[in-house]
Amino acid sequence: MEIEKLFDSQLKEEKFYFSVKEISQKIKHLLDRGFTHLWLEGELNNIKHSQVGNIYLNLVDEDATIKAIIFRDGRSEIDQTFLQEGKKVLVFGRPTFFTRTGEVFFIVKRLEPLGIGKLHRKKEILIERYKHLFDPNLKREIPSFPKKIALVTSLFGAALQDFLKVSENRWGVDILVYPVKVQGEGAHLEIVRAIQEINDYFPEVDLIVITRGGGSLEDLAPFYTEEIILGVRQSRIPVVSAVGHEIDTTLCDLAADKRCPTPSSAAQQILPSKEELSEKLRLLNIKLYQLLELTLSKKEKRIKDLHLAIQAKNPFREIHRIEQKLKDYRLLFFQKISHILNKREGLLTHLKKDLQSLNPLNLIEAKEEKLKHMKMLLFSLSPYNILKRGYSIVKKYPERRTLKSIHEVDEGSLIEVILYEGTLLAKVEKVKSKP
Amino acid sequence: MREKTNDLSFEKALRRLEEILRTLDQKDLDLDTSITLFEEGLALIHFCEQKLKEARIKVEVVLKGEKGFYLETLERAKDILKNDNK
Repeated sequence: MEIEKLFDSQLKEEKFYFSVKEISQKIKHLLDRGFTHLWLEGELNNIKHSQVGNIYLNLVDEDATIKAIIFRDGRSEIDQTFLQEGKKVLVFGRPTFFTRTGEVFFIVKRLEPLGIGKLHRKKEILIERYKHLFDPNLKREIPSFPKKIALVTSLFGAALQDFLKVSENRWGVDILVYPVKVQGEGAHLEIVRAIQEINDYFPEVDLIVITRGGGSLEDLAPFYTEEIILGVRQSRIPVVSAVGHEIDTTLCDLAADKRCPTPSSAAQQILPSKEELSEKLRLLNIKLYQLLELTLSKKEKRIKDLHLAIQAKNPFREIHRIEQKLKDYRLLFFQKISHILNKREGLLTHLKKDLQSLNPLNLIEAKEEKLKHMKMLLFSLSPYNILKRGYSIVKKYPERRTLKSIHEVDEGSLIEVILYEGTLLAKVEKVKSKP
Repeated sequence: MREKTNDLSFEKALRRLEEILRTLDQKDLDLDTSITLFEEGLALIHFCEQKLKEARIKVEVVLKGEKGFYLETLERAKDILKNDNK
C-alpha cells in the first residue's frame, strides 16, 4: 500500500529509473555538499597500509564505525607515531563517497592524540575568535631602554634564574618579580590578576614580562586560555611573552606585544647588552670624528678652490708678468749698453795714449832742455870766458870798436883794455909792427 | 634642543647622538654648527659611557600582605613563599 504511493509519486519524475552510477554520484554530491572539513574524535582500529602508499583505518566509538583513509600525498602531514591501534585521536578532514566501491570514507588530513588535539582545537578556535586582537598594528611599542620591568613568573622556576643570569651583565634595570603559579589549576587567573595589579599599582613599570620554561602541552595549558589573551591585551603596559620552548607558540605569545622563545632570550632581547652598547658608542665616536674631519676637509678644499680661482683672476699677476718682462728688458739693455761703453772706453784709452804722446808740454820740456844745453854751450864759447885765462880785449876809446890791427891806432890814442875783472883806460905810447 | 645632562636619559642621549650624526652628515653645514654639534656629540658619548658603567640590575619581589603590597629581596621572598609553589 505504502510502496504503491511511492510508485505513484515516482511517476511524476522525468526519469523512469536511475543507473547505479547516477545514484552513486548523487550520493557523493550530497555528501560533499553536506559536510565541510571537520574535526572528528574516535579510536583508531584496523590500520592497514596499502601497496600504493595509502593508509586505511577505522575510526570507532562504542556505537559506530567510520572507514577512513590517509592518502599517500597527505601522509607527510601526519605524525605516524600516533597511528596506533586503540589510540584515541582527533582527526581533521571530511567524509566522501567512493562510487567505485560504494563506501563512505573519511579523508584524514590531520591527526592528533586526543588530549593535545583538544588543546590544539581550542587554540585554533580561540585564534579564530580573537584574531582581531593579534593584529600586528595593535602591538604596543617595547621600550628600547626599560627602566623598570615586572617579571610575572614563578619564584622557583628555572625561567626566573635564567632571566636573571642573563640580565646581570646587561642594561641596568629595576626588576620587579611578581610571583605567580605558571601551571596547574587557576594559574592563568593568577597571571591575569598579576597583569591587572601591575597596571593598577605599579604604573612606573614600563614593561611586563610573562615567562616560564618549557613543559608538556598540558603544563602550558594556562597560556592557551581566553583569559590570558584578554588579560594581556587589556594591559596598558606593553607585555612580552617568553613561554615554553622555541617550538611552542602559545596564545599568550600571540597576544603579547613581543614574543621571545625562551626566558634567556627574553632577557637578551629586552635588555640591551652593555658590550653592544659600548661597541655602539665606540662606533658612534668614530663616526663623529669622521664626519667632523669630512666637514673640515670639505671646507678646506673649498678654500683651496677659491684660492686658486681668485689667483687666476688676480690683476697683480699680469702686473707681475709685465714687471718681470721689464726687468728682463732692463737687463738686456744694460748688457748692450755696457758692451758699447766698454768698446768706446777702449777706444778712448787708446786715443788718450795717443794724445798724451802728443802733449805740447812734453815738447816744450824737450825744447827747454835743448835750450839749456845750447845755453851752456854758448856760455862755454863766450869770449869773455877766455879773459879768465889772461887774454884781454882792446877797444878804441870812446868809439869802443874792437881793435884787430895796430894800424887802427896812433901813438897817443886812447884805448880801453877789457880784462876778466874790469877795464883799463890807457894811452898808446908807441906803435911797433911785427918784424 | 640640547638638554642638560642631569635629567637626560641614556636613551634620549643616544637618540640625540644619532640625530647629531645625521645632521653632521648633511652637506653645506656651516663650520661653527659642525663644531658645536661635534662637541655636543662627544659630551653625549661620555655621558652614555658613564651611565653604562654605573648600570646595575636591582631585583625585588612583590608580595601581598594584610596591608597590601610590600617588596622583599629575592631570597627572603623565596623563604616566605617556600610552600606556596609560586
